[in-house]
Amino acid sequence: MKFFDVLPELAENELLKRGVMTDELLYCVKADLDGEGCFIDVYITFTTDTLCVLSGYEKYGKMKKHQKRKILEAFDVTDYAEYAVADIEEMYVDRYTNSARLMIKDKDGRELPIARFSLGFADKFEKFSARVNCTAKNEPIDDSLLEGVKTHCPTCGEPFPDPNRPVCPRCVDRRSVFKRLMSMFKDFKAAVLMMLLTIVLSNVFAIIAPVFGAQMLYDDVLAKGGKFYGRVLLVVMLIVAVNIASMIMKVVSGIITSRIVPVVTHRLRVKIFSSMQSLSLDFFTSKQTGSLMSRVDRDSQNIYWFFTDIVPYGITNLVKIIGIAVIMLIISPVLSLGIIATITFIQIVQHRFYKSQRKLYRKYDVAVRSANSVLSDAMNGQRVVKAFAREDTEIERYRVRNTGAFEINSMINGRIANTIPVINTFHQLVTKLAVYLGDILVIKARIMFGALSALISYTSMTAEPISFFTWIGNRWAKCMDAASRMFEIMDALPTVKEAEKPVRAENLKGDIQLKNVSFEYEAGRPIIKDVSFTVKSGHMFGIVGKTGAGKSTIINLIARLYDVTGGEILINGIPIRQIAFSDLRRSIGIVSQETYLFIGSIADNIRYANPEASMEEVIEAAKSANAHEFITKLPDGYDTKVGEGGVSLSGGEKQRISIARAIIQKPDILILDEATAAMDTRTERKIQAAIDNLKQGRTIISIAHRLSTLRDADMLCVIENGELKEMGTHDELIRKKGKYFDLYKLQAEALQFIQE
Amino acid sequence: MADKDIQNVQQEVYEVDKLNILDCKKLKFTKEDSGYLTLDYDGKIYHKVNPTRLIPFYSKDTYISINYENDEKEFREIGVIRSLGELAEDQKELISTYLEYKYHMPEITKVYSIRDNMRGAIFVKADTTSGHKTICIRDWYQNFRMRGQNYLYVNDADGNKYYCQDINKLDRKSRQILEMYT
Repeated sequence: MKFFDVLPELAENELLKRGVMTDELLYCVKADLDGEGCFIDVYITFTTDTLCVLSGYEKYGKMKKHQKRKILEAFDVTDYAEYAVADIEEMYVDRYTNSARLMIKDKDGRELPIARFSLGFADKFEKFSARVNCTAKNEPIDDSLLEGVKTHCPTCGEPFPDPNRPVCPRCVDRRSVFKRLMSMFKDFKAAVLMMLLTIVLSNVFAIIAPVFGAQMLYDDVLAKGGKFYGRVLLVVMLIVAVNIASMIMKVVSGIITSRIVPVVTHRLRVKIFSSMQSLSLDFFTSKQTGSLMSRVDRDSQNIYWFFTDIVPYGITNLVKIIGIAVIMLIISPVLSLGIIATITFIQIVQHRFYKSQRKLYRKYDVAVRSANSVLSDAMNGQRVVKAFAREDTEIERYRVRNTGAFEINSMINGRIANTIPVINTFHQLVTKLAVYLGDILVIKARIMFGALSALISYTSMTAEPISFFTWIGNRWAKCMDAASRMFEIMDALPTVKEAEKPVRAENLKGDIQLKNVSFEYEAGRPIIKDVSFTVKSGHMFGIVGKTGAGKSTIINLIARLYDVTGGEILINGIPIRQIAFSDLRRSIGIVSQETYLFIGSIADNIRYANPEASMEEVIEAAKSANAHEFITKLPDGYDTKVGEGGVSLSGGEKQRISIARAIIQKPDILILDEATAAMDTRTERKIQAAIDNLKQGRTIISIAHRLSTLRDADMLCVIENGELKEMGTHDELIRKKGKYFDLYKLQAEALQFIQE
Repeated sequence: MADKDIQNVQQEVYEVDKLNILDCKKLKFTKEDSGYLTLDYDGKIYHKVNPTRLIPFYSKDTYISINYENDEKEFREIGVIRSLGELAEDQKELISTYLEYKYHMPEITKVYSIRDNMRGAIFVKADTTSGHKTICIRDWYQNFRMRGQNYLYVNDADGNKYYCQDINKLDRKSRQILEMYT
């Protein structure tokens, strides 16, 4: 039993006790609610004869350290029910707002709920129901679409919350992300080694400086009887040499870092962008990736910090703190231990303060985001704000949100103002106390004055690395978070994949066949239901239907922007899943309702589908699309900059450019999805004439609300609620007096009304 | 026949949809074994009617749309009940129970801890009216948020929803834990 949920051994034993042949079980799903809406564990599974519903409560043992999976210790059965599969007429999912029911309808038409579950599980229950229905009707089951889809986390065994993203929020390993991030440096091995060496050396030199500057100067050079008594120049030279060496090392490491880091972050950004480009359309239209661009931008900034702050300063401070501790302990173990203990205590206090402060920073972050969302909301909706004269309301809305952020910010600053001076004063007092104790030790000749002086210098030097490690946790977490999100994008697999050995097709001029095509964007909510038709080569095929009927989805499927979830589509007799992407996309031109012009000139935009096209071809295409006239009237003609920051064109003008773009592509199949909807009737007629010209040797699929647009179509079909309702020529459909007739009459009436 | 067809079509298109407040005295709901509701309204029978809260967050008992899907799976609204209080006691009970079932949303009654995996997901260990649960929330900035001053709305990684009517009424420890995230 491979799908969908794992039936635990204890539950399987319970089924065995009830006479179920568990080795014959086909599929299993787990529901999580009882009739009252309380959490429960219900396993629903079936053989070819019996559907079993086993309800109970799972009891898990405590997870031990390093244990990744929960161990099921008991399954207390509360209820068990069986249904004969042969008696099931239909199993289906009845969705409510937040939960759903698994229903069965028996042969007498009686409907019965058999389980209740959280709405998030509806997808697997839909698929499960389809398999029960097939089994009841002795129909074959096709699991090919389920193969290779990762549904459960391999570490903890829990299902992935989002079936499209095989990422388990419970088991993310931040160390592996760190390793992977560090592996980005592997192309710069020599430079990185050099960088590490220079960082270490610069710190070693910095650490030993007080040994010469304090201990050696006072104890060996200035003190009578010292090893180097009177040789001031020697010690000064040594101090200068050490400082210069430290500085040179610092400069070298800085140069290396500044050379490598931009390259690594640049590569990372390009890698992410190219990974994103290979993903399927659904990745970009899914809700989670709505703010993809801003996220990528913010995340790459965080990763930049990782390379510029965390790595070099991390190493620097680690070397510093170890070096200082070692030298201090060598100079005076007793005094050093006291100083280190006190500093550690202060840092713990400071750490706690910042930890509690972090809560406030987080709250501030939320408040600022909230204020910013109002800001962008109001800016984007200025036209509406002005039209309804709601400026004051918007000002008030922003003021309220901004006040929230301001209050938290004031609180943060207030706490800092109250606490930090106290901590600093305490730190000062401790240093003075150390000086006092040190002086006593000097008087008692327990240590030399130079050694004490060096110790005091080292005490102040510890502040920087300790404070670095106090802060690093938060920044580290942020960087790892950003990096793992980036890797998630890089690891995401396109849902529409090219076949391993794609069929190369020079041209795709043949018939387009849809065989029992079904499709759903979201599991359990079918958009296209069992649609079959053939578009003859060289014909113009019209698709008619109400808004939301599924017309655009059909063309998305033909262009393979999405893959069908049932049935198949063939062009030239070749299943489109087999055709090479480059051939398929080259042969299909789409002009859709949503036009998009890239940043660049009009000529560049027309040339987008065929960068090799000559200027003459560009103008020819613009003429065919009836765009030449308005382009000529623009001061910069074909060089006019469009897209963001460029000249703003009207909807109809943009549409005509996108038609020209499709024309220049010279596709075998031209798809027009409400392509002329934004144009006046006269322009539409002109473009229709252009499209008529294009018909020669080309298959055209056209979607239109205005039936007049489709008057020349060789064949028409009516789509309603994702189903094919009617198909035929205009005359045939009028004679049939069905859906098309209704629509036609409606539009004719409207026209008559205008004429009257 | 064709004329009649056209007339029907015209009516469907040109008739402006108006709010139809239902006369609660004429409503008679019955619950089938399947859990679906059947409505007898002014002598006309509707099967599988679907009462829907129009203001699900702020007023659960007022403005309840009574709708159904026709054979073509098209949305059809019979009308709107202004307030459940206008219904007879047994009918009110029936609809309230149905709505509670339809909008099943466990209420958070106590929060034990919140763990942040620093990857945008948080794990809230809590008691709810449906039992104890560790709720995993992805993108918590989006899915764990306040609606108004007191109402907490939670959307977990599995697509389940939870709420807390008034977080200020929770115990002190729960409030302290929630403070950082709300």
